[in-house]
Amino acid sequence: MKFKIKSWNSVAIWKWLANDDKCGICRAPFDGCCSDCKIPGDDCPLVWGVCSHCFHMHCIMKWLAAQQNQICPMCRQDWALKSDLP
Amino acid sequence: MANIAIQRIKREFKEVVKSEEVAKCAIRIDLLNDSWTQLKGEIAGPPDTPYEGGNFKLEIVVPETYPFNPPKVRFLTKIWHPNISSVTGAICLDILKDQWAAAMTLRTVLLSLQALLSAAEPDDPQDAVVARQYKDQPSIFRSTAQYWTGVYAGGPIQNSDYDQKVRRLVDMGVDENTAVATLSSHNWDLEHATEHFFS
Amino acid sequence: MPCADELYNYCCSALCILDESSSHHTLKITFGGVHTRSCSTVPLPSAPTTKHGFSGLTQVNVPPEAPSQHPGLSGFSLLPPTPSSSPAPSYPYPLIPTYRYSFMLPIYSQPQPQLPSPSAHHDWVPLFIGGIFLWESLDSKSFKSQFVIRNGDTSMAAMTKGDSAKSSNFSSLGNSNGINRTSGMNPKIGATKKLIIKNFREKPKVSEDYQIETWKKLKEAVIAIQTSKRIDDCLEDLYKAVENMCSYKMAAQLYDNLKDVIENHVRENVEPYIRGVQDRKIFLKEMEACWKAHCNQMTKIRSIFTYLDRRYVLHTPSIPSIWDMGLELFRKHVIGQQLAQTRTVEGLLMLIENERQGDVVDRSLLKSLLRMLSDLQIYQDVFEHRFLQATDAVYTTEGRRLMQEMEVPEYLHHVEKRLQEESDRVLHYLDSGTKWALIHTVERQLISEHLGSILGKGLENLLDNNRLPDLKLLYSLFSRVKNGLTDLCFHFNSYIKKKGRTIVIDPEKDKSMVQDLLDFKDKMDNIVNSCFQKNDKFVNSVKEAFEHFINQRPNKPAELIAKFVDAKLRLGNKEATEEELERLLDKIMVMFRFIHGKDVFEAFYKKDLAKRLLVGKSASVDAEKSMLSKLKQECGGAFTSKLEGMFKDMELSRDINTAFKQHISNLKSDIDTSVDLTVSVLTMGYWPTYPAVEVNLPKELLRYQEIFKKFYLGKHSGRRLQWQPTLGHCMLRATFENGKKELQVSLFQALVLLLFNDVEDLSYEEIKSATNIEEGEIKRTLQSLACGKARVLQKTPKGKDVSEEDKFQFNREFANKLFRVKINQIQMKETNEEQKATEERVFHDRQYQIDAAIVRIMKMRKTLSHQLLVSELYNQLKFSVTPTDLKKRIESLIDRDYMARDKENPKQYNYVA
Repeated sequence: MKFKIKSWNSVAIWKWLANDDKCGICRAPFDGCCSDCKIPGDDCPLVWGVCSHCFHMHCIMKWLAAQQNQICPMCRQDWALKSDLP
Repeated sequence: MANIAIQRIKREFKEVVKSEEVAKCAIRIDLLNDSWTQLKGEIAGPPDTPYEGGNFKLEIVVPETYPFNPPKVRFLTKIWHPNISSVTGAICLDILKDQWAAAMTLRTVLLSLQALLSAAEPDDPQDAVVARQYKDQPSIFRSTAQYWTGVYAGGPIQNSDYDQKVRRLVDMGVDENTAVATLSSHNWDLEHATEHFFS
Repeated sequence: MPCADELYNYCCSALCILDESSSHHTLKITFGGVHTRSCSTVPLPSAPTTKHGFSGLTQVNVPPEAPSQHPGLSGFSLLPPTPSSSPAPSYPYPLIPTYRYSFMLPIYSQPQPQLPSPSAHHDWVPLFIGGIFLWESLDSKSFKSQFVIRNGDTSMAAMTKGDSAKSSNFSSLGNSNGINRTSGMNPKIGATKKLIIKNFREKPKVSEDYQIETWKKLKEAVIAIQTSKRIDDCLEDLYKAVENMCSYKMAAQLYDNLKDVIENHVRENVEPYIRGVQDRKIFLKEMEACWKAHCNQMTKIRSIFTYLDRRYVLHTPSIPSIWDMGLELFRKHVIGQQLAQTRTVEGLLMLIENERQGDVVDRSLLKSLLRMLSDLQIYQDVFEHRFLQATDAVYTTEGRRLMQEMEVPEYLHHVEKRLQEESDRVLHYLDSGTKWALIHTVERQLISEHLGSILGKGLENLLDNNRLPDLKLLYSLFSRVKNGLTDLCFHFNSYIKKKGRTIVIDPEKDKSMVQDLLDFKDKMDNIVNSCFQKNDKFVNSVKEAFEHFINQRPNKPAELIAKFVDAKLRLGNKEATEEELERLLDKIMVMFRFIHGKDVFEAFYKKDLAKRLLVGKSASVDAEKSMLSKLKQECGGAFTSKLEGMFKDMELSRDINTAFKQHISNLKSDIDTSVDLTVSVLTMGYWPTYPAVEVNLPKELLRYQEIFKKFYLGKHSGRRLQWQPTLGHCMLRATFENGKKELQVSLFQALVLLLFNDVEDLSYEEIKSATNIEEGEIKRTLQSLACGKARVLQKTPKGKDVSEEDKFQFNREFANKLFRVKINQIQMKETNEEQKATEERVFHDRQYQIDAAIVRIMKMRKTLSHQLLVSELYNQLKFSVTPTDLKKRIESLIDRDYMARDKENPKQYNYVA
């Protein structure tokens, strides 16, 4: 062996596993955060519905709170959190 | 106004400006004040409809609770359409009421209105008179809608017969808009219309 | 000093100590109270020329019990009042109670040759030992004193002039009063004597020819004084004679007689005498002598006629005092003569002119004659005006000539010298009232007249060569004249703009631009601080000028400042300690403040910061944070929020990696854990955008990467990771024939080198396809490995550039004196593409800002001409744009129907709602 790796500093960029590039409710990019937050990441997470649509958690909470029927603002199917994420 | 509402309107505004419909002059949105609550919309009459060639202006009021509640939209340009009040411009469209969803935008609203012009829903009318005409006298409805488009929305098609009838009523001292509306409601029967005024 | 009323009541005796020595000139008068027996010492101000004998006197009360203990009273003792101390009945009309005391009166003087010194205190000579004091209260503010001193058998009188309300016109010669002439009268007095002074016995009688007789006696005395002869009569008698004549209402006649005698003398003796002299200098000397003699005579005459002055002249407003009468007569008959006057003034001007040319002249002569003019009250009329005219002419010529002949610094020093000389002139002989006009004339002719030429000809040179003392002088001279500093500031400002522009404008000097800017700023600040008195006007002018020139070249200075900071914050920059670095960053911030397009700075700074953090090249976290806080302070939180996010990502990554290491050690699997993997996980919005790149990783690295990914996603659900191989870097252990080395390499370099584990030679194409690295990158990578300083690979054919036909071979004989060899600098280097991409991103962002600004303005104004729109845009936009750029954006907005050209006026735009 002429060369052997001793240490490796790697760089990765994390992105949300979203099917759209922005939240359908606040229309801010998922790379950023909802209108009320400043720091993207765990402080302003995304949630996925069983209908596979995802939103900022803060946004969908507000939508659901404003509605009588718990439906997805995208497809109007009943809203339920998807539990198993990829 | 809530943070989310302002942020969203700003973003939507940018989206509309960039969208292809604007490029095709099909829709546009303008701000009327700095608080982002009052906007002016404009849609082009869809092709192959009596509204073709007209530009219809809309009043859009964004509520505090937007996007969790729909914007309030009404036509500023007078229009002859079963789902739109020929008097007030009020619109009967489900997505502006109970079928609203947060994912909808001003752009989708304007596009939906455009679609409404293409495909009226006479069974769920806003203006009963227009809806009846739409069902019973489709050809008169068509020419009437076309005439309104020409008079109020800058449409290209003229109708000298209707013009003359309107002129007659105006000569009798009737306000022009009232004359047009009354004649339209009476299927352009000048006698009935005159009766309506002078009986 | 008690007020005059108190004196009247209590001060009945006085001691006089007269000092005639030229070096001291003090007159001390000590009062002793009858009833209180207290003593007071009243020293006169020491100035010899004081015009008001008693003004400004201070008083020291001495307890009567121990008078001799007082330093000012040593050498004499006060005797108790004699029984005869009652108002003298012999006085025709005693004005006030007069008391007589006997006491010793020591006179302080320089040892006079004719006086033997009797005691150890040889400079204290008791000279007069008796006196009669008359005190008179005139008003509450001033009083007069006069005393007659009787000296043993030989009586003599002397007077000191008190504060005479009317005739206080002592000349410079005025301190030579009667006393010093009498000092030799009794040479035998050498020891302290005590003398009792008794009341006058004779009663005054007025005979018929009293007036004629008395006047005759007085006239003789006056003539004796005028002809410097001995006065036959006792001075006290003469004094009393005057007093008596006044008392018998002969004052007016006496005054007229006296005037005639003096006028005759002046007209007949002085005037022709002066007229005879031809030589200018001798003339001046003679004039001085005449004047001095006249003053001496008048002083003596006045002493004798003091009573006339006080009792008659003072109460007769229409006639001048004896002294003034003397002056008037001198003025009328001597200096008032056209010829004498012209010769005097011209002589004076000639002397001054000579002195200006560098000759040594008799300053005391000048002084004495100018004082004469002042005393005669013709200084301004006959001299000052002409003198100023002459001065003006001299310096007008001199200024013009020297501006031609001299270099500016030399000239400035000359001006300084001239100003000093002229103010010395005022100090030494001119009337102090001339000072302002004189200095002003010099300033006007030597400075004001040449402001422009001095600045135009010399400022640049002085600033270029950093001639601080000269600049300081320039400032101090210019601050003396109107508009001087304004003009200086203006030229200084232009200089900075001009010089500064040459620093920033030339692309060839880009490498040194920032350092040059910092040095230039330091230099200018130093000049303002040390030469321009930190004048706010100049401080602000420096700022304004820097801001102006630094933005003359758009964008580049901002970019270079960002890169300069990068270089300073990078690992391996050992030139500075932390404090020095901190100071340097502060200075850079000052420069940064001047930049208009801060977005360019931000873009480059962010790109470089990202590299420093990711490639581990940041020298100090503290310095980074410090710079960040400076930027935040300067531009606000919005400007730095993304930069802060980058730091936050680095912190989060550190936590994740710690957890990951823990995780790995718990994993009991077959993975080769000898590789120490550290991953920086970035949040997209914070960092510069990096193109997604796919490369082929060796299997074990790929597996390792997967393990991390699984670990990470297990902790952060709903996310995915996108690897960024361009930013990765490794430490390789390499084995060469000369031994083992550690190589610090980029991930790409590592991928290439790892290929050589199995083979010795590889072609360019083989390497490229095995690694799948993009063409530009692989070429740069190979070049760094085979053509750089540390050649781990060998390339055939040899050469500096990599071509697609090249072959590469492991360099077995690789040698380097270091064990740890860094060859991953290529990652830190900015490629041209990167540079362009960064610039373009900024310009792209700017387009939006321009569009937004145009729409905003048009919406507000509805209709606007092109010119006005453009100028409003320049006001609103914080970066520099060319008019062509603006035009393009306007066209674009017209195309998109946001605005339209006016149908009638194509130069006008209308907002389209």
